Amino acid sequence: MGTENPNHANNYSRPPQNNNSPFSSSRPVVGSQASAFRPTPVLSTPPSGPEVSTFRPTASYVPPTTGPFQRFSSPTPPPHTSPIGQPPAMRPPPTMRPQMPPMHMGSSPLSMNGAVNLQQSQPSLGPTNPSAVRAAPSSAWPGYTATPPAPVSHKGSYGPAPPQPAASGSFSSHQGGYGPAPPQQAASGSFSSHQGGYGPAPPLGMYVGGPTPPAGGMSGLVEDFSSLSIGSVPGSFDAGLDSKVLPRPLDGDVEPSSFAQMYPMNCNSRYLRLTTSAIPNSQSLVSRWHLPLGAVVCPLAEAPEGEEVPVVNFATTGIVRCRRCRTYVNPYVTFTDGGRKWRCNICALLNDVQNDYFAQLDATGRRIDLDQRPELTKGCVEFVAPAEYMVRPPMPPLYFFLIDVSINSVRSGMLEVIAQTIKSCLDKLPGSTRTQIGFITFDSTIHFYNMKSSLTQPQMMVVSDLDDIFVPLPDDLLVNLSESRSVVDAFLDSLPSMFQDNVNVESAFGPALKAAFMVMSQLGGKLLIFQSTLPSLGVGRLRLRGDDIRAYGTDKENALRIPEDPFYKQMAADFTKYQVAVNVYAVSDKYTDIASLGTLAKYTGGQVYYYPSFHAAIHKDKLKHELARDLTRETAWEAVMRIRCGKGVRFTSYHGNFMLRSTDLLALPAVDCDKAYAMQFALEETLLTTQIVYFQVALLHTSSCGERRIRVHTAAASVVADLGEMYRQADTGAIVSLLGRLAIEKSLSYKLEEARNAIQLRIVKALKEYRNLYAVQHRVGTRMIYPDSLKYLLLYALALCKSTALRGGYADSQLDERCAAGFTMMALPVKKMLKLLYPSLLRVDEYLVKSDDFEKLCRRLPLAAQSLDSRGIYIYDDGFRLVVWFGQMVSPDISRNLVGEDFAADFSRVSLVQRENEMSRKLMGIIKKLREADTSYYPLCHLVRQGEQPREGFFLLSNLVEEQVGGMNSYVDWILQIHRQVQQ
Amino acid sequence: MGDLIAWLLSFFILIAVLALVLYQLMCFLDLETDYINPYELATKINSITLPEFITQGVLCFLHLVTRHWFMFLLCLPYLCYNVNLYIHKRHLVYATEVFGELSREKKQRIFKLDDLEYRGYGLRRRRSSLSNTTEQSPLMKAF
Repeated sequence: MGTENPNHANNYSRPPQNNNSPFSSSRPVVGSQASAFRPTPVLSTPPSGPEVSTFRPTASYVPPTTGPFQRFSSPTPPPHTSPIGQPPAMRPPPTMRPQMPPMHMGSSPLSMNGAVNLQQSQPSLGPTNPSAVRAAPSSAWPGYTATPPAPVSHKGSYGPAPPQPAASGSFSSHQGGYGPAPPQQAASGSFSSHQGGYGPAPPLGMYVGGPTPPAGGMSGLVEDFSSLSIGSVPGSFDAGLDSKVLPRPLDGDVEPSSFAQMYPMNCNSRYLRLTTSAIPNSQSLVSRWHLPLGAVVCPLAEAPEGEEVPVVNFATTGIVRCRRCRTYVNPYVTFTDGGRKWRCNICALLNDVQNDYFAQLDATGRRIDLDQRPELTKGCVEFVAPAEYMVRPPMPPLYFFLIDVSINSVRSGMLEVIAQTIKSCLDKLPGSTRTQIGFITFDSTIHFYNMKSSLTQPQMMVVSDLDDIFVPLPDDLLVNLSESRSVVDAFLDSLPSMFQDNVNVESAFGPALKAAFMVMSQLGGKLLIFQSTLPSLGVGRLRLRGDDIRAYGTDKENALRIPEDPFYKQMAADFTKYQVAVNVYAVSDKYTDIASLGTLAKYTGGQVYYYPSFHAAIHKDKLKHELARDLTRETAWEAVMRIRCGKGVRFTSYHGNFMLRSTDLLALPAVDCDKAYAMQFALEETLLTTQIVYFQVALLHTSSCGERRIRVHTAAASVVADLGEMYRQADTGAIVSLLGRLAIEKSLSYKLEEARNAIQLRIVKALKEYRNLYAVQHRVGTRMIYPDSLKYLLLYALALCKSTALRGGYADSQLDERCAAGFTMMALPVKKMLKLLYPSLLRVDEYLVKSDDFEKLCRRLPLAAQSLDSRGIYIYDDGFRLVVWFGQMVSPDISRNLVGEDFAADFSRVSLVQRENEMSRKLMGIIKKLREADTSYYPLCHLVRQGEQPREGFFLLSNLVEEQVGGMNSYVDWILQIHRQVQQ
Repeated sequence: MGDLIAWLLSFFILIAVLALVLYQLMCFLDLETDYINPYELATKINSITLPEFITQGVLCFLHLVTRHWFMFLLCLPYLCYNVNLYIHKRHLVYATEVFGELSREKKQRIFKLDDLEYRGYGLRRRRSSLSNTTEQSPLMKAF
C-alpha cells in the first residue's frame, strides 16, 4: 500500500479549500513539487548524506500543507515508518507530527537522500514515493477511488481509476470517517501493518454505498488487490468464472513504473529487473514470499537511439572504486568533507577522493562538476579499464567456424546458405581490421584450411587420425580477415562446390571440436558449430537415445535431457577457460542430441540455434538472418560479470548460460545484447538494518574495438517490512523469467511433471500467503484475490507449463526441440521470454480489406480458440515463428490475392511472397513490421489453413495457451484449480 | 601377532582414507573461499577420488579376510555407496557445474568423514580388546 500513501498525503496536504475536487487540485501541487525536487535528487551528494540539499527545495512548499496534513494523518501513521514494524496506530499522535510532514514531502524520488532524521524513521519512504504515483495520476488512489465497475467481476485494483465525479464525495465522506479508523486498525495487527501503506485505512463499511458503484458480483469495497469472482457455491465452480474477464497481457510486458520513478538514477529496467523492488527486511518475511527473490540482468541490452551508455575514461585517476568492497563509483555514493571523501553506498566505507577526481561541493552539497560526470548521475555507465584489468592484451574479435560437410549438410542446402551468409557478413564483422577468422570442416576426417594472405587459394589439409588429433600448421589456420580477405572469399565461394558430391555420412564431431580448441586456445573468441548429424566418430560420439518412449514418466526420463558423455562438459569447461564461446547451429531432421551439443553453449555463454528438418528452400531466410545477427551484433569478449549488493544480502544462485568461475563470478567468453542472466539472492542476516539495498552489476569485457571496458549498472531498492508492499512492487516479468529458468533447471534432474508442479506449488503458496493478508479484513469470500502487479502471473505460469521445454510428455514435443527450447529460454531477456510464453494473436483480414489504420484494427487477441473466427485471417507471433492462419470461410478472393493461384493447394508447399496487389503488400508489411520489432531471431512465416491437420495443430492449436492442450488445463480450469488449492 | 598386524594395517588404511576425504573437503572449502578455481578443484578431486574408493575397498576386504564381521558390516554401506557412484559415473566433479553441487558434495564428504571417525572408534575398541589378550606387547604400548 505504500504506493498509495503519498497520495493520500498529497490529498490531505493540499489546502482545504480544494476539497471538492481533490484530484484536480492535487495535480498542480504535484507539478510544482516535481519541479522543486526533480533536479536535485540526481545531483545531490552533500556531506554526511545528501539529505540536506534535497530536502530544502521541498521544504519550501511544505509549510502550507502541514496543517491539514497533520490533522488527518496523525492518527494513522503508516506502519512502515518504524523499521521494526511497530503498529503505528498505537503511537501517540504528538510523536508522529514532527515526522509526518517530511515523510510525505520528502519522500521524493530521492528518498534515499531524505533528511537525516527521515532516513532513520522511514525505511520505506522509497516505495511510498509520491512521484511514482504522481506521474501516473490515474494509477492509484485506492482510498478514494471508486473502481469503476469492471464489466463483470474482474477488477483492476488500482487500475484505471479516473477521477470520477463521485470521487469528491467519497473523499469528504472518507475524511469524516477517517477519525474512527485507527481503532479499527489497531484492533488487528496484521491488518494495520498492511494498511499502514494506505494510510487512510478506512473502516470498510464507510465505502459501502459510498461512491463505489457495486461491481457485478462484488461487494463495493475498495480493495488494493484484484480479484476474480468465482461461483459462490462450492461444487458449482465452473459456472462462476467468465473467461472473458480473466486478466490477459494483451499489451505485452508492462514493467512496473513506480520503481524507476522512485529511484530515477537507477539503471534502466532493460538492464536489470528485480522480481520485487521492495526488498524484505527479515528472514521471516522472505520465507513468506514464496516467489523467487532475485534479479534478471541483461548487461548489454540494446539501448534505443539517444540513450546510449556513456563511456567514461578515468585516464589519470584510475577507476574510482571503494577500497573495501570494490564497488564502482555510482550516483548513489555521497561526497562529504568538502568533497575530499566519499562514502560507499554499499558498504558505507569512507573513501578518500583522489586529487584528480576532486571537485568542490556547492552549497547544497553537490559536486560542482556533476553535469560533466555521467558516472555520478546515471545508473548505467561504461568505464574504460586501464591495464590492471587485463591479464593479457585485449583480444581481437575472433570467429571460428566448425562446419559439418557430411551428406546431410550438403543435401539440406545448409552448406551453401552458410557459405553465402558468412561471405556477405565479412564486411560487417565487428572489430574492423583486427578481426580474425578461421575454418575447419569435418566429416569422417578433419579438414584444415591454410588461409595465409600470400596464397591465392586456401590450402586444404586433411587429418584422418581421429584418436590423436594434431594441428598440421602452427599458424595460418587463424588469420587476420582484412589481410587474407581474398583467400577467405575464395574459400567461401568454393566451399559448397568442394563438397557437393560428398557422400560421407559420418561425423567426427568430437575430434574436430578438439582440433578447433587447439587452434583457438591461444586467443579465445567465438566458435560457431554447424552440425547436421549425430556425432558418430571418435571421442564424444553419441548414440540415438531420444526415441525411447519407455523412459518417459520414469526416473530415467531426465537423463535424456542432460549430456550423455562427460566429454561435452569437459570441453565446455576448457573452452570457457580459454575464453571461447560456442554457438551451436544444429540442422537436422533426425535426432542430434541437442542435450549434449547444447552443453557446449550452455557453459560458454553461447546459444543454441536449432532448425528441425532444415531445408534450405524453407529455412534459408531464418538461418541467414540469425547467423548474420550472430556475426554482426555488438559482442563483448572475454568477459566476467559480478553483481554486488549491500550488506546483509547475498546472491546465492545464478541461472543462465555461463560458467561460474568462483562463487559469484560469472565467466562469459562472449556476451551480447540477446543474453540475460538470472540470479537469486537471500538475506544473510535475520534483520536488515539498512533502508535501501543497492545492486551493482559490473561486466568487465573487451569491446570489439579492442578496449577493455567495465559496464556498470547500479540500482537501488527500498527495504520494506510489509509483505503487502513486496507484492505490490512485484515484477511479473522478472518473476516469470526466473521461475522458468528454475523449472528448466529442475527438468534436468527431475521429471517434467515435477518441474511443472514446482511452479504451481510456488504460485499457490504465494497466493495463499497473499490471501491470508487480506482475508480477515475484507470479505473475500470465494473470490480469488491476487495483487494487481501479479495479475498475469497465473497465465504466464500456465504458459510456462505449456512451453515447449516443459510441456506434456514424450509425445508433446520432440526431445531435441524440447532441449533446444530449454537452452534458448535460459538465455532469453525478460521481454522476449514473455512474448514467447504468451504470443500475440492478431486478426488482420479487416485491415487487409479496409484501408484503415493498423493499430486500430489489429489488436492482440486472447490466445483461445474462441478468438479464431473462420471468416478471418490471423497472425500468430511468438517471436520465433509467425503463423498465418486462414479461416475456412475466408473468401477465395482474399486467399487468391495473398497466396496466388495455389490458394487451394496444400499450404505446406506454399510460401508467402509479395504479390502485385494492395492486400498482399499490406500483409507483407505487417509481417515485416512484426519481424523488425525484434531482430534477435527471425520468425519464419508458416501458412496454415483451418482444419488442415496436423499442421494446424502443430503450429497453432497446440500453442493456444488458454486452451486445454495435451492434458494441460485450460486457463479457466487452471484458475479454478489454483483457487481451490489456495483455499485449502 | 597376526591380529595385531591386521589391526595395524586396517588402522593405517583407515587413516589414509580419512586423510583423502579430509583433503577433498578442504578443497571444497578452498573453492568456496575462492582460494582455488573450479578447474584446479576438478583436477584435484578427480585425481584422488578413485584412490579413495580403492583404499576404502581394500579396507573393507581386509576386514572380510580377517573375519572382523562387525567392522566389515560397518564398511559395507560406504563401499556400496561408492560403487553406486562409480557405476553411475557420478563420482567425478566437473568444473562447469561444481558450484551447483558444492553443498551436496560437501555434505557427502562430511558424512563420509563422520562414518570414518565412527569406524575409527570401532578400531580403537578392537585395539583395547586386542591389548588385553596379547599381554601388553611392547608394540601395542606405542599406541
